[in-house]
Amino acid sequence: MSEDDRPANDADGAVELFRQLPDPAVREGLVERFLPLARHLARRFAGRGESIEDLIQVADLGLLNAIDRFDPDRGVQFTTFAAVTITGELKRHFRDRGWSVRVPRSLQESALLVHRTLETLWQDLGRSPTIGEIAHGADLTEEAVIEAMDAIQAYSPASLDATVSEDGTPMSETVGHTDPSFEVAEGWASVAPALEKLPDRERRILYLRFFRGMTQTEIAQEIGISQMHISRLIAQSLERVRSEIRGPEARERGASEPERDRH
Amino acid sequence: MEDLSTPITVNVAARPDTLHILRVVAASAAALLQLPFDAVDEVRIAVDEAGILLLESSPDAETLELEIATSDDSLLITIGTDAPTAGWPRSVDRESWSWTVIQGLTQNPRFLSGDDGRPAIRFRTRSPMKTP
Repeated sequence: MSEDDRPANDADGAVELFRQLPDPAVREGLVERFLPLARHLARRFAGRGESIEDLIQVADLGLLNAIDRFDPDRGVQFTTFAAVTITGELKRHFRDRGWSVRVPRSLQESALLVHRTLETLWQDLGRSPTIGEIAHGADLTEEAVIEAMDAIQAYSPASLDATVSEDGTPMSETVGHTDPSFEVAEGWASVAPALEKLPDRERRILYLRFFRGMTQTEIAQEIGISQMHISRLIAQSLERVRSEIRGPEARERGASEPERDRH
Repeated sequence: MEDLSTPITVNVAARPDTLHILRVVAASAAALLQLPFDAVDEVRIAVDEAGILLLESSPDAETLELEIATSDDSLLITIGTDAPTAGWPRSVDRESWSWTVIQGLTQNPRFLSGDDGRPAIRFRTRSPMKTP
């Protein structure tokens, strides 16, 4: 079948190969063909304290899992499915290995210092301190505080969750057809199933922040936990919702371009 | 209070792995304005989400541009790409999770489309604290 004749959900032409499994030669061919995708995704997680060799190993295992779990009758393109699976394995790897290897030690130390200083200042001032106040309190430069913020939050939906195919074709957001005047409400309605999966407290925090318009400091006072904790829970909750909606979105789009020119 | 008399403009390659540069620049500008930690935190998230939305909607883009100006007592942040994008913003953009988050974290977020069809997103940060 020529590339032009393939259905959108088989733009990478993998479905026919999957129907020939468990032929070991075919499986090996699939591995070789999609290895560049795994390597690409592994490189996207570089610079977070794990060696590129380890990341590649995790990504390669993720690819094998994807090949074993892929159902060609589901109407999803394999490239899409593999990208989601491999990214999930890489994220799990960082989660499992934990903080100590996720962030370089020097950055980890300043992140902890910023964290502690923020908590102290927040208690003392009764409000969210400025970056300058945190820098002064932690005896760091403002630049170091800002750098540490990335380490504290590890909030990077682009690098952790955006499942972009090897050739750079991104997967789109949820498709819907609603009156733009309801775009705020509809935006949330479309992720309602994902929100339902959040713990009650996290869902309440998002509600207070996004619907009630409360600041993190106000929410912290209302819920009775620290502002830093609120900040982290918001970041983590947004990331979890994004992760939840990736699958359905990818299935809906299901047609990112294959990586043809990598071989 | 510091003032950005000249807007900050940063161009990076239109790739997900360059978004952290835009995050740090925006956070630094917000720190200059003495925004509180939580507001700086949310500026970073909003910039990230805008970048993601633009990368997804403007796949031909080679460059992402971030412009930061002061407007009254807040930051006016504009992020755009160099690739004309037909139909921007589409319903898929308006209904995206990224846009939902941006709307929740910023003031007056808008989709912009240049004369040449280049897409951009502009928003204003929350007002800074009245003291310290």
